[in-house]
Order: sequence, then C-alpha cells, then structure tokens
Amino acid sequence: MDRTELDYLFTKLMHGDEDAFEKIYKETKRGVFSFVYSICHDYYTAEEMMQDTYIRIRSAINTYKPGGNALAWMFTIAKNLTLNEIAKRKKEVPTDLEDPSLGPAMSYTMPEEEDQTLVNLVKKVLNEEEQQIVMLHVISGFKHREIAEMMKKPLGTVLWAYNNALKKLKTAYEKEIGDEK
Amino acid sequence: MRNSDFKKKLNHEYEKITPDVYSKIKKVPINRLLEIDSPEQESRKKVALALVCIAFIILAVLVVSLFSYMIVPGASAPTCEYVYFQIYHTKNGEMSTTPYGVIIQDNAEKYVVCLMNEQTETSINVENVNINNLAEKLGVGNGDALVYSVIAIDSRQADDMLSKFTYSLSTYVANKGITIQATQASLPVTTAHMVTYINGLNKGISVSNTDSIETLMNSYVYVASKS
Repeated sequence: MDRTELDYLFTKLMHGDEDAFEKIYKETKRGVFSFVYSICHDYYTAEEMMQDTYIRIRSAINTYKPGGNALAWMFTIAKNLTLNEIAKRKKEVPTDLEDPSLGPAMSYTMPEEEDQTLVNLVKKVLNEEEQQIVMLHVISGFKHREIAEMMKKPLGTVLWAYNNALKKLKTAYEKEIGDEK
Repeated sequence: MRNSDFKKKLNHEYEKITPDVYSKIKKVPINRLLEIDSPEQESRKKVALALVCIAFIILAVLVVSLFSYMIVPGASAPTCEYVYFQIYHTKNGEMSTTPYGVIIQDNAEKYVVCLMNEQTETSINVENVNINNLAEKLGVGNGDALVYSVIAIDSRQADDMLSKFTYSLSTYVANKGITIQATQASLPVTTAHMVTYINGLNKGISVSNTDSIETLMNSYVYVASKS
C-alpha cells in the first residue's frame, strides 16, 4: 500500500470510519510487530505493544495531520510506547514470588510452530540498531532516507548499516542452511 | 540466494509469527479524552474563546465603571477628609460637661481620630475606631447623655457625617440607658474654639478666625499630634 492510500485511510479513520481502521491494521500489522519486536526482543511484550500502538492510534487519531507521513507517525507511537514500557519494567522491583534466576519479566519466547530461521538469526546476529533498520526497510517499506530521519542518523550511516546487516544475515543464513544439509 | 528472495523469506517468516490482535483492539473502548481537535475545530474554538474573552473584558469594564460610579465619591460628593466633631458628654447626670473636639479622617467605616479634651487640653490619638468605639472609650454608660455636632469643610459632608453618627449611635445605645442628641454645629463658635486651642498650645502655629476651616483643621491635627 502506498503512502497516499494510507494517508487517505487515516483521514477516513479521523471521521470515524472503522473499516479504514481494519484496512490500516491489515496493511501495517507485520511492520509494527517486527519493529517493536526488534526493540523489546520479547514476543509477548511485542504483542502487547503492538496492541497498545493500535489502541493509541484509534484514540489519538485526531492528532494526525492529514497529508503527513502516516506510517512514520504510527511507528513513532509504536517506538515511544515500547521504550516507555521497557523503562517502566526496568524500574519494577521483582517480588518475592518471582525467581530472580529467571531474569527480568520479559522472558517469554515466541510460538515454535513456524519456520523462524531468519527471525531467530535477525535476533542472533544483528544488533538492535541493525534490526530496526532491516525491519523498517524490508518489512515496512520505509525508504533509507525516511529511516535516517526517524532514527536521526545520517543517510550514509543507515545505508552502510543496512547493507552490512543484510550481508551478515545472508552469511549466517547460508551457514545455517548448509549446516542443516 | 538473491536479495529479493531473501527479503521475501524474511517477510514471510514475520508474517507467520505476527499475532492477530485485531479482535482485542476492537474490544477496547476508545478513550476520547486523548483526542485533540482537528485544525478546523481548533480554529473555531479559538475564535469562540476570543469572543468570550472580549465579552468578558467589556463586562468587567462595565462592572468596574458602575461600581466606581456607585461607591467612589464624584464631583457631587466630595471626599470627607476632616470633620470637626464635638461631643458634650454628661457623665451620670452631673451638670458638668466635658466637650471634646475630634478631628476625623474618614476611611470608609473606620476613622482615624484625633481627639482633644477641650477642658484638660490633653489629646488622645485613636486610630481605626468607629463612633461606637469612641463612645465606649469615653466611658459613656447608663444614664449618660451624648450630645454631638459635626462641622466639616463642606456643609454636605457635615450633614452626611451627622446622619452616619446618629444611625450608628442609635444602634449602639439601644437598651443601654444612654440618650443621644445631635445638635446643629455653629461654625463661628467652633472656629473660635479651634483658634483658641491652636494658639493656646503654643506649638509654633498661629491661626485666626478668618482662616479657612480647612487650615484650622489641619492645624488642629498638627498641634494635637504634638501635644
């Protein structure tokens, strides 16, 4: 879905069109999830943050300025909510009932039914910044220039990080496949 | 593996693991309190707010003007600054009377009183009292009579003050066995009184009967404060 169409859907949602919300959700859910997952590294927290992101989008839709970058607005909300949640959880003191050896509250793993070779490799071989750049470009379709603006980094740095991350990921993937064979 | 295939696979894997939270989101009531108005609504609200502010300012100006007109003495009601207030106080029915000359600076309900016993030539400065406090201070009690008169710079001030004192004293003396009587002040007699006093105290001020009542009152306050 191109940006103009997404902006149109956001404008419709501003006027109370719930069908528009469903379309927005379907078009962006993968991108939002992969992005928040690349920040929090925990499946269930990512699910929770994804849910909160869409709730916030619905409730704060009137703050959206039509004609703007809807996707960037949405991902800014997702990022802020996730970072706030991480900060909040860091401040939480474990109760006596929790076993400290289990680590922090974010210790869940994702469902294992599907092939997650690349998902696992992303988590394993890429650092947080590389993960976010790859997710924003490959999954959500952001241009490198937009990612540079969102992450407040020079375009050259983003391009270099992206190419480097892809190379690392491909090498790791080919090695993984080779080992399996 | 080509880059495009690699990206497709990555997309496919994330598609598979992305949870579906749509039904959960739909169940959550939208918190409309977080809403911020659209630019059109915001603009309309700003105009409305500006109109309300203007109306409020106009109303405030009107109220203040009306209030000022009602309470601030204008040209037709000169400010009462000095009033020479004489009290003849008959103690317990005895024939001897003690006249007091009192200069009063009017400050709404309270008065700064410069009081002088004309027989003993001593002065008492009493601040922030009303006429009832003054009567109390003079020890007016059951069987006493309070005879008073007023003379002011402006004759209307004198009438006004006399009415105020009469009203105030009549409430005060009720059921106390005190009689009150307002008398007509005689300007020549009062002036003569004041001149005698001011000159008699030898405080470096000399006045005559031909001086204005304002000069006499100012001089009276001055010599009283020096006594």
